[in-house]
Amino acid sequence: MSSMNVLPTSGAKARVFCADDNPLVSDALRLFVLRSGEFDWAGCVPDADQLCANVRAMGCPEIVLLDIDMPGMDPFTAISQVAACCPETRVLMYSGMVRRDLIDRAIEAGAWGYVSKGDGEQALFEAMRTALDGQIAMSPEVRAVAGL
Amino acid sequence: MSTSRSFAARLTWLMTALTAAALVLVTVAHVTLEFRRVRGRAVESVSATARVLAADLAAALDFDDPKAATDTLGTLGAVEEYVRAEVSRASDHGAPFAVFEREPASGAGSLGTDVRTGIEGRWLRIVQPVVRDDEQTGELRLLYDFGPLRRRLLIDVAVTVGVALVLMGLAYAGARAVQRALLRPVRELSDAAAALAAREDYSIRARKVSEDELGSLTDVFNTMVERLGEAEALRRNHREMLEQEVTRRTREALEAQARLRQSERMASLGTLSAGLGHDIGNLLMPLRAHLHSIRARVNAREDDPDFAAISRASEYLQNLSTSLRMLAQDPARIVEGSPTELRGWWREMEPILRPMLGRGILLEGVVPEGLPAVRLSKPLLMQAVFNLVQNAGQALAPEGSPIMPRASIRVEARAIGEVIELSVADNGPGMDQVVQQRCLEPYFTTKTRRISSGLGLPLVKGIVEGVGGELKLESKIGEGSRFTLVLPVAEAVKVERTRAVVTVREPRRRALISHVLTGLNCAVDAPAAAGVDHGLWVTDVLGEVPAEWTGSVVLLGQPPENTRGGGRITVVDPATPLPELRVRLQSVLQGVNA
Repeated sequence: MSSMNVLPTSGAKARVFCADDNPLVSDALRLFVLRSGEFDWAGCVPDADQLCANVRAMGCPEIVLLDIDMPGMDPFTAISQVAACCPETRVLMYSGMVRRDLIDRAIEAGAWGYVSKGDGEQALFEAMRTALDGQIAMSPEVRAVAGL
Repeated sequence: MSTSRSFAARLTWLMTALTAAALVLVTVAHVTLEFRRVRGRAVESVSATARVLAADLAAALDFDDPKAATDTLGTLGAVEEYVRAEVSRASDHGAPFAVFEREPASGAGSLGTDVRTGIEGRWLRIVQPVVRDDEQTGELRLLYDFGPLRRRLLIDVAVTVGVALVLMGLAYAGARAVQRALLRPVRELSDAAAALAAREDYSIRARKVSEDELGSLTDVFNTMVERLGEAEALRRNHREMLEQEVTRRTREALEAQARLRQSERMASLGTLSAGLGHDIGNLLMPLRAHLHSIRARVNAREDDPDFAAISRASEYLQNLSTSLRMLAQDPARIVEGSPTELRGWWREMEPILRPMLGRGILLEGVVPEGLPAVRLSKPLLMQAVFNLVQNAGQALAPEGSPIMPRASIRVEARAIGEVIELSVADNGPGMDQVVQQRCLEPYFTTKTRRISSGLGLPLVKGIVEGVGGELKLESKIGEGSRFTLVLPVAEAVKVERTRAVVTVREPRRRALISHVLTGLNCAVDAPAAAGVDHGLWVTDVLGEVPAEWTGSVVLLGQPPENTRGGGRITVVDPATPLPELRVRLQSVLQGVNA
């Protein structure tokens, strides 16, 4: 399984990029990520438009956290585009809406996991670690709903 | 009916009267003709008698023998119609030579010298010359009375008319008898038909009075009435069923409307709670993040009471947020089998239950650490317990009434063998036997529709039974009710984990399939660590599967040209959507475990 690990070379931290239209959330994410000491903050955009270009412009960060309810591009299309333009990037759906159909659509579109905002920052970090380790990541609430 | 009888009687009377009139007319005509005929014959007879007497009297006149003449005339006495006879000599100028005279009758006619042959009233007068040697020597005059003849004829007429009347009476009586005999079955039919029409009583039958055609007609009529009765009963039955159906449908439509309103209200509440949970969660994250920043900046201790209090409040709100979103989940879209750890579940559940209950109701949770997880997903368990606690709260604080004193609800979990019993008990008014028997029926409620859809308990029952559990109820009037969810322990229902190897080249798909297999209770091994030759191998390159592998193989891709030895191969399209892929893999695993 080690071949699937996309963690940066030793000493480097995995970078986290986000797309969320709520500045309170993106700001909190930034604080959590920076304080974790485990990840680096790569930035955030308020919509999924041009997400592929933005992610590529940031040098294809290892993690992209994508909110599901945003203006602009359909998030599932955005997942497919990022998976195509940055194959090594792990896109995680990060949302307060936890529904089985949304989970299935996100995974089918190419997401590496689905994380509920309600599960807290530790669950988020755990999911990011799992995805970077080459496994599908589901936070506890998502597992409860989807049975995965 | 009376009109019909009257008509028949009138017809009989008319026929009888016409017959009588015809009979009388015929009789009168016959008598008249007979009288004329008899009178003509009488005239001829009297004339002939006169000629014979005249011949006999010629000698008596010639010999001037009045006695002989009187004797000759006296022979007329044998015929009662002859009333008087006179003979006179020509030389006597009409003076009677000899006379025959019967007892004078009242109104008797007379004879005279100037009499002429002819009929006058009832009298016939004949004048016959007495001739001797071609010389008229005298004149015979006869008076003949038609009275006896008339009397006989009148008697005949009377007898005839009498006989006719008797015959007519007999004919009338016979006609009536025949009429009654003929019309009786018809009248029976008519009476039965009239009663049928008037009362719509299809049990009525016409009485059969004969075995003839009318009897057959009666049978046909009765059969027809019986069929009509059956048809009417069927129609009435259909009508009643239709009315019942309309009533039922109307009631169902009204109930459906009420349910729809209730569903819309619940859907609105669900949307509201989901949105509320979402927004609370979104706000809590920056709250926590900035709280941590402040704490780092002020260099606060880990156990700083102010920060600890805010953290506890934040955690409480976080649980509330999660619970609200869980509660809004559609039960039909939730996987039932994912296990729930009860202690953690109660920590999330309690915050959402407390605000729902009145301040005077004590909510007590007894959920010990270390209980095995139950085979019921967290959202479903939340929905089930939410309904039970909500019901208990409404029992303790009925609408429009104050909360009962010392009201309490106790949620308690305990392990009993292979199951977990999770009970919700209240010390409310309890339920009688009828309510206990019916409370699990859909749409049954003891509350107003404004606050209850009657679907809560059936929903709980469906959720619990859906995972092989049971819903038990104990209740006693005046002491309270206890609903117990008997839930299977998650581990207890698990089968032995299946060994699986996944060698799909594309990393995310490999990860996804591994994830799905893990969810399907598989132990996913790396190829190098497999060391086993059974279980399930999922690959997109069939050549990677070693020849000694005897387990099943799922090949993501095109079917192989040559089948390999060993286990069975299932080909799955790599583009299979996730839900279908999950089902396909589950199906293959069932074959492996079988």
